[in-house]
Amino acid sequence: MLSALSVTAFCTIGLLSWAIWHWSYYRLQYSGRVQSPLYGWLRPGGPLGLSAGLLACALFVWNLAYLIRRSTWLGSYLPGTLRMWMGWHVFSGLVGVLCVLLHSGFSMRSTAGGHALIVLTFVVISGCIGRYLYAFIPRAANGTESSLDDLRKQLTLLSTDWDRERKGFGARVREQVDHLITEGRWRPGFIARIGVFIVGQFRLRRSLRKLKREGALDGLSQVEIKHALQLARRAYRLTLLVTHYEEVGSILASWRYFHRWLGLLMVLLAIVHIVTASRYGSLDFSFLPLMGGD
Amino acid sequence: MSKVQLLIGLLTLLGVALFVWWDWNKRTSPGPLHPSHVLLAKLQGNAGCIACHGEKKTKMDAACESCHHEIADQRKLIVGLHGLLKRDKAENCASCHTDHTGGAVALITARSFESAGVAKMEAFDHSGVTRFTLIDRHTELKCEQCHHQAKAPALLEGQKRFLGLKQDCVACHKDAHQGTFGPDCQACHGQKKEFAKADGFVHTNEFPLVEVHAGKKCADCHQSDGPTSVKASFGTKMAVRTCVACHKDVHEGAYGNDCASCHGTSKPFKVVPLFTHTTDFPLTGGHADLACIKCHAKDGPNSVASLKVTNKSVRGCVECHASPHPEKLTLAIAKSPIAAKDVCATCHHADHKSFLFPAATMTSRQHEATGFSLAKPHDKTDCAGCHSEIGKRKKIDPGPDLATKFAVIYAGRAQEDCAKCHADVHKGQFAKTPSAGRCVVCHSMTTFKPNNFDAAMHKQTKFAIDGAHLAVSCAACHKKKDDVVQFVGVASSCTDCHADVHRGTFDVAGTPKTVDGKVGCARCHSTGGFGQITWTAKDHDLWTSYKLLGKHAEATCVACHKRVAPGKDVARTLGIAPKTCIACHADPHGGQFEKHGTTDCARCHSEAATFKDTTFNHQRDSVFKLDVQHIKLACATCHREVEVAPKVKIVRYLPLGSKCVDCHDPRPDAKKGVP
Repeated sequence: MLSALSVTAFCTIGLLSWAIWHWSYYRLQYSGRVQSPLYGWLRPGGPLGLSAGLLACALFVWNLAYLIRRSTWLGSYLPGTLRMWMGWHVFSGLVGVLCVLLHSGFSMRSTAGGHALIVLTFVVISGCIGRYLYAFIPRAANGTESSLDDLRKQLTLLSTDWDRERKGFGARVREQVDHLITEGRWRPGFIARIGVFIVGQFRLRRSLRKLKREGALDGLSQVEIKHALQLARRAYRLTLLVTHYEEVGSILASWRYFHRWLGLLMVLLAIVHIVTASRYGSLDFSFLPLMGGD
Repeated sequence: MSKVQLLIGLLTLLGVALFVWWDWNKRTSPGPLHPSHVLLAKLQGNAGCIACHGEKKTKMDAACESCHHEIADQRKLIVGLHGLLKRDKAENCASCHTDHTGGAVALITARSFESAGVAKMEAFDHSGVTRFTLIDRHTELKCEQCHHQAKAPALLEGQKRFLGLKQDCVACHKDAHQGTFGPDCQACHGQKKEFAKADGFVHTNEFPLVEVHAGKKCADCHQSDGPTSVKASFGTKMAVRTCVACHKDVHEGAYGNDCASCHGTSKPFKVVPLFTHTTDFPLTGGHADLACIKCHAKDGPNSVASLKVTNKSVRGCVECHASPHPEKLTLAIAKSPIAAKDVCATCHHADHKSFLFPAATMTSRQHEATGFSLAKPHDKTDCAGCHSEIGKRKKIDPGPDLATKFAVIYAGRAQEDCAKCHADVHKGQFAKTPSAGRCVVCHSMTTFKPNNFDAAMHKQTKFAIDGAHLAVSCAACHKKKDDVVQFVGVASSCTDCHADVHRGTFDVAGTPKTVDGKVGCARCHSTGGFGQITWTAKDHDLWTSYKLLGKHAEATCVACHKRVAPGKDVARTLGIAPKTCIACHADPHGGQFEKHGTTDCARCHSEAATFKDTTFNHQRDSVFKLDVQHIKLACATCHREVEVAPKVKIVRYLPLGSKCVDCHDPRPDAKKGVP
């Protein structure tokens, strides 16, 4: 995942550099662009724009292959772990967005293509949220989600670790975590659950800051405090999952629902855009040797 | 999956489907069409997309050309801009023409031309692409002056931006001839000049429009209707018109119809360049442009009619031209072997158009005939040097006072009357002299300097030049006053020029005012030189009261008057002569006669005689009177030479004894003394 994000960051820097280099063109409105000498090269149907569009298509196809890998009956036929596929999913999604931005010339018009880009933006945002939720749920080494039993086992092991720490501070932290778990009132509904979930995260952070100060006043070393707070975060997450396993699961399910429907909408709009562009657009395939390029 | 979830799923799917459907149907167009296309109903909606972008298997060019037929024709015939485009460009109209900007961008822009291979719209190869070469005045036009819609923001259906123009002249220009001259206007009018000048038009060979006819308008000769109209000339050959068909015959037919044989067609009618006057009197120079009537009156012996029947001799100049010149001039010139009637032509050539200078020429010989030779120094003088009005004056109208007026300009002058032309550098000093106005008395005819005034001529003045004055330059005496050298009234006395080195010594009271009739310095000095004075003993007596006698008269001045340096107040250079003899002469007697410190030589010696011829009388002047015996004796018997100092001998005169024994020794064997 880290390498995927690194490559994405590198591509983003490259794209920004490209945009700055050709800012004289990208800053123009559409009417100005069509009169620019760079229009033929940088327009969406031009050699560069079309290349970026095709690359984006390929990346999104690759991105959607993650769905196949996730399926229980087809996924087993594909190589690689689910965690690795998730990394590719994130990478192809983000780099695909960069390609789409380059393809669009950093501008959106009220067309199917423009709408697809807007939807894509939401897909990416939801993807980022999903990635956060994905990271919240403890997983096996192959990336599969831990079951409730697994969670309970982990919580038991954590309690053992907890008890090895200094009783006074450790007990205070455990109390605080328990308090946070019981304080959050989970209600039915996706919005309400998300609200409790997010508020709980904020409260956890605030409490941990407070505990950190108290640990320092008690004369604990920074290493001890840090270790205790790591345990506290892990304990909170496991306790929350154990306590509200169903609710958290519902959140993830709801998120998948939105993410997938948005993805579907984006794909459909992209198809409309591709079909329309192929049908009516002035596409310059001259950069492809087999298409008449030099 | 619950029913609710299923319902939500279906609704979501429906939403997605609706969104996609809406985009598919309504948002395929990337933007509003250009106003030129918006106005066309067939381009509206999804059908409009196909109208421009074509069906599935047709390309955009075919769709566009369904409306843009001229483009289709160009591509079909491989002519014009679109016909010459590369295939990929030609098939993809949108690669050059951008729509869907709502008119924000014109359908034809600089990029359109650039994309089509035309770097600049103004550099469009009109000739190569359209086969309509823009030359001359067409090159000055802007595109929109012919292609009126070239820069129109939008076109209505049927309007054309660049295409659709015919290349016939009349497609743009109004045919002033209403088709009578055919469609090829350029053949006559060209494109270089304004329409009215049909430089390329070739008139019928039988009547070429050259010279004066060249600049005429067609309508000047060809009326709009009638047998001479242009329209009448088409289809039928129009007979060539004679001159009198258009021009009035001022000769009333006297010279026939062929006016051009004399008048030609290159100059105004009054000029007859082709008319040949009699070879005896060619019309050249001033005669060339004269109207015939000027010389040939309508009637009389010189009329053209009369000359055609009589053989009259050629007229001389004076028959027509009045002469302003004095008769003596023409007579003088006529002495040369020239016929009298041609005398004028010696100076005034018939080829000249004017009698005035410089057309008129006059040789040196002719000028001499006027009484004024152009010998030196006038041989190099410009005419205007003497005749100031020459080349400037207006022509004198012939009339009774012609000669008078001319004489004012060319007044006769005597050869030696220099003052007529030359300024008097002496400013009138000689005005009252016999040579007044006659510079040549002193100056030569050829040069002003040096003058001829020599010593002989100077002798005729009050001050003859001789002696040392001959070596003195004129300017030494003739000084300038007010920048004018003074010749008259110049002072002539010696002291006017020379300083009196004697400081008035010879002019004091008692000195003679004249000597042999001479006054001043001339009493003693001559012009031969200051030192050459004619001073004689007589003059010494006259001036000093000291008569020079004997040897004194022969002595030089400095023998007595020693040279002295002139003092502050004394100018003399010869000292005052001493009064005593002993001051000049040595005393041979060794002071034997000195009394009271002086020796009076004159007691015995005289100036008039020699030193030896004394005036001494022994019987009278000596206390020792000579008796008979003694008188016989030589002086030296008694006055013997004695040595008074080593090697200094004198004759003893005093003291000498007067007793006998002073000389005679009574002793018989005495040897001293005289016998």
